[in-house]
Amino acid sequence: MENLATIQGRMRRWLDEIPLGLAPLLIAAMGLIAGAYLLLHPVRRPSADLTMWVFGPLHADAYKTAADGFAARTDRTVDVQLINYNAVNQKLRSALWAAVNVPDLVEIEKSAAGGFFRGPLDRVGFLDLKPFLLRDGIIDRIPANALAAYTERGAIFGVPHDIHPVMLAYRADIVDPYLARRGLRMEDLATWDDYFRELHGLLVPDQRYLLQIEHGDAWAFQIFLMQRGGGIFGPDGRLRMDDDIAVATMTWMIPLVAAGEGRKVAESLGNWDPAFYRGFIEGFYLAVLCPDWRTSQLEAFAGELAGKLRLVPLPAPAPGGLRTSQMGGTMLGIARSAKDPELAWQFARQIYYGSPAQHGRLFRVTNILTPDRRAWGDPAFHEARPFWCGQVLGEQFIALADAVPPFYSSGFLPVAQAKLNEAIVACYGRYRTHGADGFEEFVRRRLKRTADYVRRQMAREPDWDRRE
Amino acid sequence: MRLNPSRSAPYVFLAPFAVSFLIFGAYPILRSIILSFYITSGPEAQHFVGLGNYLYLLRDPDFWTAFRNTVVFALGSVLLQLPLSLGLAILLIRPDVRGRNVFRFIFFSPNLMGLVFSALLFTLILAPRFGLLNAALHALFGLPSTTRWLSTPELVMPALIMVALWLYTGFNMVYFLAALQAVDGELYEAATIDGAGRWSQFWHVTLPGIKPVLIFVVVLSTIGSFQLFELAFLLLGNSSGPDQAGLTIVMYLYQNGFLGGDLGYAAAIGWTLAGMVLVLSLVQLRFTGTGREEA
Repeated sequence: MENLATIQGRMRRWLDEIPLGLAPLLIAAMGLIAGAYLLLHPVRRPSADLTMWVFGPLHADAYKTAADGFAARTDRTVDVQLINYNAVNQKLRSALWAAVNVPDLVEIEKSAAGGFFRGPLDRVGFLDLKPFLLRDGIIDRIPANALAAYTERGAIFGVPHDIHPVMLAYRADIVDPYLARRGLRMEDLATWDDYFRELHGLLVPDQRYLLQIEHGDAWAFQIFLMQRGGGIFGPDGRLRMDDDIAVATMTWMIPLVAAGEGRKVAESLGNWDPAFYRGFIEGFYLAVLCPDWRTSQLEAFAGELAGKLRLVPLPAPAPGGLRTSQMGGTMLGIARSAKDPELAWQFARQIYYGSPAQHGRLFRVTNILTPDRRAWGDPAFHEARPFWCGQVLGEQFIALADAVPPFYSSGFLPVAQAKLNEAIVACYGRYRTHGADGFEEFVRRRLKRTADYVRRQMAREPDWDRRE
Repeated sequence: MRLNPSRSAPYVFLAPFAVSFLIFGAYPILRSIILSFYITSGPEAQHFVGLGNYLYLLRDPDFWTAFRNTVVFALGSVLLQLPLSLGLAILLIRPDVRGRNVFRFIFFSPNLMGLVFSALLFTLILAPRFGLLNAALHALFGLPSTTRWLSTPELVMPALIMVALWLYTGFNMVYFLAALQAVDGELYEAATIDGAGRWSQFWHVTLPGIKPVLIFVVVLSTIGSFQLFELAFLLLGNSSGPDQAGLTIVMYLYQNGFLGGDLGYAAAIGWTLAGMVLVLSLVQLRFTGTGREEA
């Protein structure tokens, strides 16, 4: 007992001598223990020869499998990391800015790609892949338009994963019997005018519309715009969102959704929400604009429509016009700072332009058509799909692949799209209040105002290449 | 020379934070000031423009759209949210309210959910035709069930304010509950003896009693409203809604810096916002007389 009291007394005296008492000592001790633990258990960094960032879960799964095969063949490893779509762009931008942890390979969505191609050409964070594409003869295997979005001032900074032809997905269970009674088939409706005229009998105001068009964003407008040969940007990087084609497209599209009840033929419940699918399932709209990637989403989120949907080429704006358009896309880029660009290209070539069977396997899951013509012979592209009333999706997409119009990206695309949204909403509002009276002139003025804003922003950009 | 341990110890203990703050806080802040004088593009390109970014910003209609939207949201939040929070707190501090703890928990519970979950929930609630809100409005008042809350320009801001009300009313209620508990009960007894009615008691006893907390909550809510980003981003996406009806100042900063790639202009927007918030907070403190009583 006496001993214990002595020890307690010593302890108390010792603690009394500690500056500021026991609490800071405990904090310091915890800090030391935590620091020592972290030092002894460092975060394991991937020791792979290549690092790749991907934002699509299905892509990541496919590439991980491909990486295993690549490792077996070359004895070099690839660490495929799945990163959220929004995060991958921010993370990449930060990595490029700080020149830290830049992946060797990265997939980026098409509309975000242009933002990475700004600045002096020789300081863009990606390698020009044109020499690789030419050397390996791959450039001839890809539809020419598929490269447009990733070509900047003559350099090709990304290779396309897809083409994304747009078709029309429609409720065959409702539309086909109706047309059959009139001795018609959907394939007979060659133009949008034909489409809306022949199906007008199916229109029930506030209950059923002929097409899903969201007027609150520029998605549908861009599809129609490219179908007519227009675009937000041209091949020379010049803004063309207020040219005659854009004016004509807007003047044509807005009345479809903004006309009074009875004359309005298109409606929407959103482009991406569950309500979009519910609206299609319940027949609120009979058809939707459908790039190849959207077909797999319909299969996943509108399972009730199995056996009730069919795909047809888009009706043309005018007789003999284009029967498709383009929407969305993914590129694969190789960072300028890649440790071994040749090795990175070997892997890129394997996953993007590898065996037809590999593409076929991916197509069965995603319904996304590869731009590599050599793969189109794989049986997967020629299989009938029960969900789509037994249609052969692959052949449908392949038939349109070469007609898919080019999409030109730009660092100013996000601002242009935002301003285009504004213009669409303004035109919608104008048509709702004033109808067709003076509408075309209003559209022209509004688009010009919108484009001028974007041009002012573009004019601030120094001519980087001349400065160099 | 021997260091006095009791004098040097605070500095030693503060050092880890101070060093981290200097590296990860102060340096980026200073760097962003410098950055705001440049146009940046891509990973390495910078071009000095002096005050050009700030001057362009003053003439940029989108910035003013963002400013207007942010002010509307802040007014909606402060003028609707705080009276509601205070009302709930006054109601739920009364001992005669049965199950008041359950109600307190219910009103606070939206804060237990993540912002992302809440936003997803409201995407479904606000959906046209199939959303809960439209169904309720249709059933109760015969309003059209196809109201597009998040894609009609005039409805976007009311929808955002509504979601913010749901999220933060209960949170602010907790502040007011704590403040009300600190008001001396004898003051109410004295006021009752002096013949003061409920309204008079609220005006002359409750409000002065909770004034410091009230000012704190007003300033905090205003600053929070001016920094609105996540909610608008989650509900409306990158595009900030139809006709940019949901474009806030921070959203505009994000669009320019992280979608457009001009971090210089984004930094200028950020510093302008910081200046606005500072001025607004000082004005609020001045109007409410905070600091003068203590002096």
